[in-house]
Amino acid sequence: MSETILEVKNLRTYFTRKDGVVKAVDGISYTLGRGETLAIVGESGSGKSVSVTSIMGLIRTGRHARVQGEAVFKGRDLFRLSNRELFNIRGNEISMVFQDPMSSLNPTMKIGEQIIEPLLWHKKASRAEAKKLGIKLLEEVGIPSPETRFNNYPFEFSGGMRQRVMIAMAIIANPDLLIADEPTTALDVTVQAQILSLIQEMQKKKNTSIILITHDLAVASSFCSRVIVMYAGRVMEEGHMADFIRDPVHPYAQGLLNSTPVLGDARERLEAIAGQPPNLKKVPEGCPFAPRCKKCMAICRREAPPGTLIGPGHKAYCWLCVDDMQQGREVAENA
Amino acid sequence: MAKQKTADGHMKSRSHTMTILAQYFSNKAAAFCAGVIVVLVLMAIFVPVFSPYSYEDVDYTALYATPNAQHWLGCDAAGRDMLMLLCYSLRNALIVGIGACAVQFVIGLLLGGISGYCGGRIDNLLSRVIDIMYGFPTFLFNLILVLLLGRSLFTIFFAIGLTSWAPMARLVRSQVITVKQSDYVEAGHALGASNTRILLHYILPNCLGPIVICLSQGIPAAMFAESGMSLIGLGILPPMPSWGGLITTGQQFILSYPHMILFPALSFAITILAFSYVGDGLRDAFDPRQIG
Amino acid sequence: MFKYFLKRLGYMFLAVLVISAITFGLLQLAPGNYLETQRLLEKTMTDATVSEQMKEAWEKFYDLDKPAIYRYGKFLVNAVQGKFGPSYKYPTQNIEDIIARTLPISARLALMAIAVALVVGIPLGIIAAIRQNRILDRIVMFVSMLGSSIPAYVLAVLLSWALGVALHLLPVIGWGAPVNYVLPVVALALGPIGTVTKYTRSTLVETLNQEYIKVARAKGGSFFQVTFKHALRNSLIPLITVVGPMAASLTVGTVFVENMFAIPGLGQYYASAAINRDYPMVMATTVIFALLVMGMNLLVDFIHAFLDPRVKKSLTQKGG
Repeated sequence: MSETILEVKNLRTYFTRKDGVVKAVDGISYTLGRGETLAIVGESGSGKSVSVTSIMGLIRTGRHARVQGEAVFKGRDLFRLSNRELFNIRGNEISMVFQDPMSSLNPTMKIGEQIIEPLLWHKKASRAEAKKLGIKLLEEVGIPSPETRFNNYPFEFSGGMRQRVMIAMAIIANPDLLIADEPTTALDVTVQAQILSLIQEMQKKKNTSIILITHDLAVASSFCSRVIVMYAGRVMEEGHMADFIRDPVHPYAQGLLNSTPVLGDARERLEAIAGQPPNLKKVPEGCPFAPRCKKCMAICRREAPPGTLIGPGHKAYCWLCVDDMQQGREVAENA
Repeated sequence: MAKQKTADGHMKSRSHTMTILAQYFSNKAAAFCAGVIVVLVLMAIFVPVFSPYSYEDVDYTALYATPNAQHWLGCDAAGRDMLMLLCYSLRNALIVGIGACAVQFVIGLLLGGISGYCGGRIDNLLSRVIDIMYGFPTFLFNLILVLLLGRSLFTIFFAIGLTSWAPMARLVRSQVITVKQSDYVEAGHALGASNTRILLHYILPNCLGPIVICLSQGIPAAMFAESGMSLIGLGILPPMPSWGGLITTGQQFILSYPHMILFPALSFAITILAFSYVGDGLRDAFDPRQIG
Repeated sequence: MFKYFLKRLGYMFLAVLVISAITFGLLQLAPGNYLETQRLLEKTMTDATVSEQMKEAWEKFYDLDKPAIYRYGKFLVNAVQGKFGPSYKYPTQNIEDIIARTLPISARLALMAIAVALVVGIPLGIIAAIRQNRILDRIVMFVSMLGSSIPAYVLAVLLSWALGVALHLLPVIGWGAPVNYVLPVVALALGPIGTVTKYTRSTLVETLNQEYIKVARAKGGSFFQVTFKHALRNSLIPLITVVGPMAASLTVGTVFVENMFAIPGLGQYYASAAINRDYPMVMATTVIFALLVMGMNLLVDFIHAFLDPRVKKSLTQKGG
């Protein structure tokens, strides 16, 4: 097992709105090792983006937002650090790539300037050195004529190019952890594949740990070795990608896999998951997925299920598993 | 559309107008000032009806009187009741403000709408006209127009409206252009709607927001303009009271009878302030990002 | 891009031409006559009454016996050379000399007011935006609203009373020393301060909500780096566009403030000319003010295009 660089313990992020408290993230925990690639998968509103923005400290806490729990990065709890220490970590040891390349770059600043900012702000290089590094990086991410492009403005780039620029910006300071929040959602399918392979390439070269957030299982499975499925702010299932794809246990996860079209699929109809995601202000008692679950039982509506280990590194939060395990034990006991 | 639960738990959709109104009233300052304006309008209409004095009544025993039991806000140099003077000034100011905005609205809507909708050469020509109006020395023109047309309330607000429609026209034009290119208008064309129908049912309703905001900012601007003219001596014809006129006369007595300038200045400021907050509140209420 | 602005410059002169024509036309229609307003044509003879002969001579002196077209044409020809001829009220002086003497004073006042508005308004707007919706924001906004709601002349009166008469801090009358500038500039600047504050606040709030600000914070930017390097630059650029209309409204403000503080600026002539039916003066001041206001707007647009790379690009791409 490689060394753990990030350990999230019982992360909760609550927002206070006029008509109630939105429990965007309601108790998730996971660990991430050095060089590991983790995918966080879920629908819109599942809390996946909020969970990583909370970890980065980008949520404005105060009267309207509370972040609780622990996020231990390289031995230090990020939630206990001062602002100054956080500034040092962001962009430097932990970087983020955001979803919308169109709006993520400052339109009135040259992209070269924006790319080298992490180096300048963290005093890792002089301006001249940073510029050289920036140009070299532009080339590595696949931008032609990097010297001229360095002085261009964001509106002179296409969406896919801008996302490459974002990636360059995120890795220029050699972070230990790169968080990519839906990096391909706003891009064409062909460009998607290019961006994903670019991220994978960077990961292999520098052994960066990666958290990839997406609602698309196909994207998740493209290079991540582990996966967490989130729903209504909680983890439903987590495990190694291969195990998960082959044998998902949680009904929600199964639903996700079933609703993903696959070439050569013999089925005529895609199975959609019936119902709507829950109103996060009024999360029902028990398992949040219960209202939409085909295999829902009485206990599912009363109590939230605990995590059950169903295989090496494979955990599911479902009463069915508990049931099975119990039945298995009963069978074994009675045998 | 925002949804809300009715008593029996069913989901009911709110109309767009209701959403905007709700958004507006959630802003406490704006809601308060809307109330202030209602009070002011009511005052302008009803206080003269109930008061024992008219603004013309001259009380020789009360020249320059400071506030007392008989004259709640005192009197001016000619013994006229200050409260009455202020109410009539308010009334005149409101008439000027609303009248000028009506003129602005009509001219701006026509020119801006035609310019935006037709595009091409007509748009170019009308845009040039609008640009010229922007550079117009409006104040001077107000004076000249009033000289020409005489000094009634009508001519004053007509002149002000005639010289200040440029922002409204530009606004309407840019709104029409934006809406004209939107998908739902294209869909309307595809469904076979005639041009008139498109204009009336698709484009105009969606331009209303900024237009309302422009109007609410235009009223205080027109009041300002009129008071400026009064200062020069070409505003509302005395003995009809106006804030500008009261302030000019009061200026001379600022050391001896400050109430003569203080009260008009205050009432002027309060009215303009109320309209400003309402204008800002409207702007926030129509802002789609803040809704929901 | 320069071609575009040259074109606009051309349009500007055309516009001023149109304005002068309209003004001239309106003035021909306006009732009343200079001599009448100055009571120089009273039926009863006084020392000031003008005889029929003198009236004719006066009219000849000002070309009033010639047709309107001739007078307008002469006006244009002279105007282009910068000459406006003698005014009615001050027949011994040429208007262009009057303007040369008084315009710099008014311009100085207006420019100082703009400068004060920017220097005070921008920081206030920043404070309000950073502390959005909290007490400080509401106070700043209320004060700036007050500034733009109370007319300049009222504030001028109140200020001069408070600071000049009651506290004896500043001179109320007099001109020439720098200290005489304080009250008029402050009175003029209060409205613009309100505008600048409000505008700075709203653009800054909008900018701070943009995605790229979150990205900048994610890169490890401190509060100052993000606010000043990224957000402020983007929100100050549109602020330039507000300066143009502000200049226009200041031209009106100077009229009152100069009146109040007895400042020998162009504003004084501006308004009295219309009342006195001093037509040459009216024509001249209209043209000058129109040129100034439009010129200011053009300059402001130019600076805006220069600063914002998106606008610059779209203008150069259009083929100039």
